[in-house]
Amino acid sequence: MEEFRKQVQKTLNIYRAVLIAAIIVLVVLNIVEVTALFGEESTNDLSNGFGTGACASIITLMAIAIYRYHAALKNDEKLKKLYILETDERERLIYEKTNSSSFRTVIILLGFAAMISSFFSRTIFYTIVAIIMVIAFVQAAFKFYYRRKY
Amino acid sequence: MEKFKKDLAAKTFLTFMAVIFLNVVYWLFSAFNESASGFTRGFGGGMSLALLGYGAFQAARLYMLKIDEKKLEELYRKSTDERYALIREKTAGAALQAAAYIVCLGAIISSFFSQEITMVLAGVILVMAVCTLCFKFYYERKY
Repeated sequence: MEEFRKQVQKTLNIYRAVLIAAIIVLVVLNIVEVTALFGEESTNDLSNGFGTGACASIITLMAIAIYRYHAALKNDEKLKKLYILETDERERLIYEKTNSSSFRTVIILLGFAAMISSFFSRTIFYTIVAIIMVIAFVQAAFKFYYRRKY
Repeated sequence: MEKFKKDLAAKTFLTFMAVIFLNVVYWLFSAFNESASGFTRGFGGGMSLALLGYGAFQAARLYMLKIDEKKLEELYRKSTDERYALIREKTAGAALQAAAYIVCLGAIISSFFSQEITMVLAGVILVMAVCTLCFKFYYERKY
């Protein structure tokens, strides 16, 4: 249980870092908006809205997760419940299988989308190809990491 | 072992069918979209050929495995090896999550430069989320 407590603390620190990063990005976006208003330059409403929405969602999710993990660290009963939830074999199996199947499906769909989009827009085509390359690179990096770990 | 042989045959058949389908889609688009550039046709043609080659390779591999029992047994041992299965599952899971975060970050940054790219990245995140939800629902019912 002590090992799990340390793991929860580590996860909590990561969530805190993500929360702070999201808050910083939100503040920067709003500074850019205000600066643009003073300079009377036009701002891209879509970019601002998208960034604000994404940051607000991330902040909300991180705040909920931080509250949950913090409460678990303070209360042994809640920590035990969290431990059971996260180490339950069925939950882990579903989690691993879901991610694995989703990963393969997304790659196939992206390949298909790249082929179709090449007929309509080069920008979209290159964007999708770049995403596929990023995913392939990330997968190779994790494969290398897990091969050394296990 | 018999189940493994059947699964292998089914996977190879599905791969080949997927390759044929992609080729048909490409050639249909190519035939009806006369304004498609040379680059597009070339890219699609190259991809179609590569996929056909891959499909043929998989079919040939299956045939060789059917003839050679030793290689089939080795493949069976490798596919059921716990370490390989663990690495495969962990890699795919972690890679999907990391890719989702990177694409999300990319979407936020690209929103300052290009609406088209932002929409594409947002679409990809949506597809990832929908796929994950569908598979989660499927596996929760299966196990």
